[in-house]
Amino acid sequence: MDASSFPLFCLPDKAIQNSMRCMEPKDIINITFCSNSTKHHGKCLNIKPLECFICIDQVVQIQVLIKPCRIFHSFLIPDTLEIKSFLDHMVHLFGNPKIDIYIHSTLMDFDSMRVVFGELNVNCLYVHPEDMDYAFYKKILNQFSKSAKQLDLSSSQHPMRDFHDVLIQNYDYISIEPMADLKIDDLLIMNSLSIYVIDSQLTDKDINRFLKHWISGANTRLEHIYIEFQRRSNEEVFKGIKRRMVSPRRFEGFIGGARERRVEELTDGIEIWNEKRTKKATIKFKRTTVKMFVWH
Amino acid sequence: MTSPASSSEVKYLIESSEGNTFDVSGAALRQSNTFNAMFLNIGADGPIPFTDYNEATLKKVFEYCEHSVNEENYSGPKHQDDLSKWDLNFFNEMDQKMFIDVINASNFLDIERLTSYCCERIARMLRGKNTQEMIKVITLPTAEELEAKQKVEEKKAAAAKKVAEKAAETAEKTETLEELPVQQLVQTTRNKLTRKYLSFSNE
Repeated sequence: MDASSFPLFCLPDKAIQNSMRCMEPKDIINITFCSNSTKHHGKCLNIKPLECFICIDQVVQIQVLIKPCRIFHSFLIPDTLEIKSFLDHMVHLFGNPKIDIYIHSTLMDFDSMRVVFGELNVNCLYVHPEDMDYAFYKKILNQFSKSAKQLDLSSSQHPMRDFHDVLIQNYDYISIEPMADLKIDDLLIMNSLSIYVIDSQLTDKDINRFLKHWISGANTRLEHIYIEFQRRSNEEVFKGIKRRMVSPRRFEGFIGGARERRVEELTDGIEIWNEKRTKKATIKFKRTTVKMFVWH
Repeated sequence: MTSPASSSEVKYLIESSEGNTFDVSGAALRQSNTFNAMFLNIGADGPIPFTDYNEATLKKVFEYCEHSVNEENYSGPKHQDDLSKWDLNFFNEMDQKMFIDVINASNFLDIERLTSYCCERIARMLRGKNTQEMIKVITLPTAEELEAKQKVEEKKAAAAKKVAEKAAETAEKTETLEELPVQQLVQTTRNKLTRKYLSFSNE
């Protein structure tokens, strides 16, 4: 049988869609660009990508993970119309999927970013700028952080206290690394389920202050916190805090950048509790890190 | 043309678009979900009209069904490389027109295994091609062709309705049978068996 041409549209819709289901994910995406009809059939397949993410660096790279393949599409920064058209197609095809956005450079101007990415269903916003000026950084956070479920910031030389309106939002997960000026007050205003602080200058006293605030009722939604800090003595960390050793328990909560809740097995730990005795937390140290798991 | 409690020896008469009839084993026919939904529990009184498809196509489809009667239950698409020599020959000896007719008929009859192997074959034709190359292969239809396709789909729906009506009619007769006194029921069954015997002797 001649494979160089095949009148696909002579087939009933169900057979067209079944044929598409048998294709590799990359081929499915390619065929949906052939016509409105193939686009419609592609949507009917109801494919849910495991991950979609956009990386804005020297080029704009869009990745879609549909088991078992990761599909890459790269665009030059000036081709904003082409990027927008591709994204609109993906959003239609996959039913407005959650998308992670990584912003690594300022090569794409803010207005273009707003036009191209402004309507997306942002899951995680990563802003890892090398040379991002204050105004650009602030605009980016204001534009994209509001709809994001997770926030990942790094290498900013800009003062954290200027971004409290961003940090205060109810993210599932927030990660900060390394922010030289990070203070305990910045942590206390965060209302996230999971907080990661990497390579901080926080001291034993700072951690002690954070724990005391948690005991008094701060960070009510917190399920898990991970802090890399300047650790010297556990006694300093727990000064004035009632505690006891507890045997291993299995924790289930929102940990790290996972899209879903996941379980972490605990070996042992130190248990503290809040003033009202309505919540307990297990604290575990490892070298210069502290992890706290809150039992709700 | 058969009893509802069909065994693998039971034959059903199939009517094609030319008005020709030929018989197919119950075991082969049971691979068609369309058949199962309409006739399996009630039996068919007279030829089953699959009159939207020609004899050659239907025979090809049921040749496949007869062959795969003893294969294990269908459990999802199989990679082309895993197909048996018989399967490969079956597909390779078809020209494109027959292949399309077979997909259409298999799709209507809802024969999962055959439909999925055909679809896998189509997917294979397009594997690794970019959009422009795919456009060349799949020959996009014009507006007129899309309209014509719509009409064909409507015609198929009408054909499906016809088959369903036939099934309903048979069901009605079956219900009537159940209400008959035992003597009459025996006589009616005897008549049915005689008709069945005659249909085989006519071949």
